[in-house]
Amino acid sequence: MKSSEPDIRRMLERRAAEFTIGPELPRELLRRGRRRRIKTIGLASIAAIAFASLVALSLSLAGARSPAGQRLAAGGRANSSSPSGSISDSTHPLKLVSYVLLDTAPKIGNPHGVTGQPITVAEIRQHAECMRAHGFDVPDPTEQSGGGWSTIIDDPVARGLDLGSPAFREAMFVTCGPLGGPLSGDMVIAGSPDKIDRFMSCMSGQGFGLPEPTMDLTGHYDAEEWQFDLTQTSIDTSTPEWNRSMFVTCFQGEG
Amino acid sequence: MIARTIDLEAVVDEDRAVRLRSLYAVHVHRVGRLAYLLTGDAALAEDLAQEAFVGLVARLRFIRDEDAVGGYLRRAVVNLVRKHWRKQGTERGYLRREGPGLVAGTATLPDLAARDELWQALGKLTHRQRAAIVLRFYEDMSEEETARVLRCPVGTVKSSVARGLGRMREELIRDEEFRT
Repeated sequence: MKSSEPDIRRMLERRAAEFTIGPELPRELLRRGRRRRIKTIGLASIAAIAFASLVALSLSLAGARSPAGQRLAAGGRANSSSPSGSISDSTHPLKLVSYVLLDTAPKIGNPHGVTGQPITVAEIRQHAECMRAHGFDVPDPTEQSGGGWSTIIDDPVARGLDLGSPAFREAMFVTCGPLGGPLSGDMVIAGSPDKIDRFMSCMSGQGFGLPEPTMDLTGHYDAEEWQFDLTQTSIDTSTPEWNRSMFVTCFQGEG
Repeated sequence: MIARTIDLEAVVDEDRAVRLRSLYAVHVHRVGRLAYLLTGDAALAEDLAQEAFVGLVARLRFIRDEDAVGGYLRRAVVNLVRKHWRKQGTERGYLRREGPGLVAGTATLPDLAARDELWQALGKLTHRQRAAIVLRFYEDMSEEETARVLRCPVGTVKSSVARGLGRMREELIRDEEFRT
């Protein structure tokens, strides 16, 4: 009975060798690719608009009906220092996918993760205290069973919080830290190409020339996620100016 | 990135075409062979390989690390084959509903020249079992890499390979019994 692994390998090699295809790129293929690209960009814009509408709707529902809770920031597993979270609003449908704190070598199998000092619950608690000291009634973080943490704001409108307001973001990302930086490695932002263009243009206007984004082809990100390799630049991401441009001015500064 | 003139876009497109030709020449054989092993149909494999390159055109401007192209194309082909079989499943369901007369029209003659017991046994596996076996034994991928390409847990890869091999053995035994 021919069913051992070496037999299967040999059979697959033999069968694969039977298949031949010309090495010349068919002209039609290039045309189809261009059409696909245009179609993809069009669909992405529609999806971004739909996403923005959804965010706007859920925020207004949060104000009207006081639902169970709104997640302000989540992540920070005890052995990770990568605070990923969603930062989006109705005028600027961009989503921060990955934003990695400065540290040492990437983890094996995850080029976007880092090893080293975790963001502790105590640090997040300090951050919440700072926010409250600045007039924003943010609750303390709660520890999760897996060793992570999350901060959930029940009914932000009733608490007098506008999570998308520049004042809130200024306190959250600039004044209080430590979610702000310093950073290295990848910054990954999801959004349509035109929104990314505007974001980059805005950052450039603030004096932060971002490198051209690349797309990760190893399967970590979807088509509409853009990876900025900040290690290519001399940008100091630990400064308040960076955090202000990144989180206050350019994520929602212009529609 | 911010603003381009039409002329610059044309230059960029030409540059892209040259790059794509080079990538096509390097990768098309391997991609096509993988598609062939996953489908068992040479014409379909050629179509799917080219479809994977159509997807690559749309992403070409973002590719910096060309070593990753092989991985992208491999994954694209596996996904395209899965979509193809899913669509086929829907069509077969329609044919079953519409009556046996239509189904009779889809029967094919046995390919005597291509007769190979193992190959035929491979053709009787589910898509996931077949893909797991091809990726593990032809692409020489680890269980973890296979799991990433198939977007499933490592345990599922292990069970797919084990069940696939088991089913192939059963097919071979049945075939031998039939001949004796």
